[in-house]
Amino acid sequence: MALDRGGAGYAWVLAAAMLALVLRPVCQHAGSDSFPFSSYPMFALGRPSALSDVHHLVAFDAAGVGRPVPPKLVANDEVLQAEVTLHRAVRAGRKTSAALCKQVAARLADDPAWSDIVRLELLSDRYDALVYFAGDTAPIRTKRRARCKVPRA
Amino acid sequence: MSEETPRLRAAIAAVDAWFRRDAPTERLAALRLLIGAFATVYVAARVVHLISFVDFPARNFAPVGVVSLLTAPLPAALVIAPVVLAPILALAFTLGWRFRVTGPAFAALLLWVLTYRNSWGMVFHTENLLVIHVLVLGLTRSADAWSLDARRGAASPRPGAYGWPVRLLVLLTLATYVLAGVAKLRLSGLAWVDSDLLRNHIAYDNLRKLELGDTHSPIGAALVARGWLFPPLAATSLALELLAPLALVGPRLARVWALAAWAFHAGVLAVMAIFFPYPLLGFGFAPLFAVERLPLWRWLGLRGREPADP
Repeated sequence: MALDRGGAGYAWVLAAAMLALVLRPVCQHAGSDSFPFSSYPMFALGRPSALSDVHHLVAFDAAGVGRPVPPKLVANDEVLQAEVTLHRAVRAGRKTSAALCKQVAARLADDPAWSDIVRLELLSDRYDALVYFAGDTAPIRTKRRARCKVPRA
Repeated sequence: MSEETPRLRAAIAAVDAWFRRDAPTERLAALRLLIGAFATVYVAARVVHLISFVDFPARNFAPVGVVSLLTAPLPAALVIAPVVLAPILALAFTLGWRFRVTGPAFAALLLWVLTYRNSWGMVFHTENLLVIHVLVLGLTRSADAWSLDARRGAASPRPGAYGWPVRLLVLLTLATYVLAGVAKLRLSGLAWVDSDLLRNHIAYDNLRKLELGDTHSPIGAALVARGWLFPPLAATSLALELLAPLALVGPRLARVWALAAWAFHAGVLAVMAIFFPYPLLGFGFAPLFAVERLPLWRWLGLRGREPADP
């Protein structure tokens, strides 16, 4: 017998199942996350302090002038995916950080827009975000996690 | 039998009548067409992005949801095949072609493909509502009108089958906003409103985008200097989320809430450069409206019976 997708029983079973799945995160520990049934913690924590640690790859030309490497060269077009990739590499240690640096350097080498770049550095910088937007964009503290040359033929 | 039993029965009957109040066949069909069209364009436009995960290192794999069934990333072919199939099935879903199969199949495929994308250490929140809506539409009789199935006589109207899926879509939409509000209270309490939590977060978010070589919001960057702005902004967004169920009171309040929620997403785009396409383009709020009345349908040559209020 075919399932009656218009009947009262089906309506209530589907509604109960969907509502239970969507509301279930309320019963889980605060901050837990999944997809597509989420507790939506993305903006919920806020930040108690303006101090902000950022892991990023900086590309330097021969004169030592640096510019940030965009997300699509680090991971894909999502900036937060690039951030997670960098964060995980830093957390995994020097070897993984160096491997990521070399991988991205190889991608840069294939891209004519980056032909002036000679080296990359994976940096962990600490900023005061409010001071930063008041005009002082220098990091409070810098830690170099990896450094690599851009391979040129 | 206790005296409570008739009252309980009456209450259950009232809830059932409210939940399963009938609606025009065309309203659910219009939602399928709108949300299906969005999903089709979305998965087609994101093919390159969705395939990009084949190059990710296995150590970054952090499965969530249904993808938790896996202990390791899939081989490239098994990532690419569903991504390529998704726009094709999405089109079948949208057009209502063999919907008894393509409806649930597309819902399941979309769930899989987008959950896989969220299984690399970063859970995004831009697609949750789309997946939830497609699941409901795919599992109900949303192709009984304005579909290829209806045109070839494979779908016949079933009284009482079209109101409750719309009601469920509305309930689930509102629930996601309430959850976001509850998360703020659970994680930060009222400090989320009366401290610098939001201001610092907006400053941090724009800073990291700049330093990671992405687009940031110059508006947000300029506003963070004005600390007094953020407590009212935080209070307004929290109220909007927690008071979302007011949209159930009637069509007018539903429209007011939807407009306010849209403005909230527009604000997030303005100050953080975060684009939530599904709600910002209006699709996320479509279940709150009598969408079968849109002039678009007449232009497409689709006609239905006179609609009732939502």
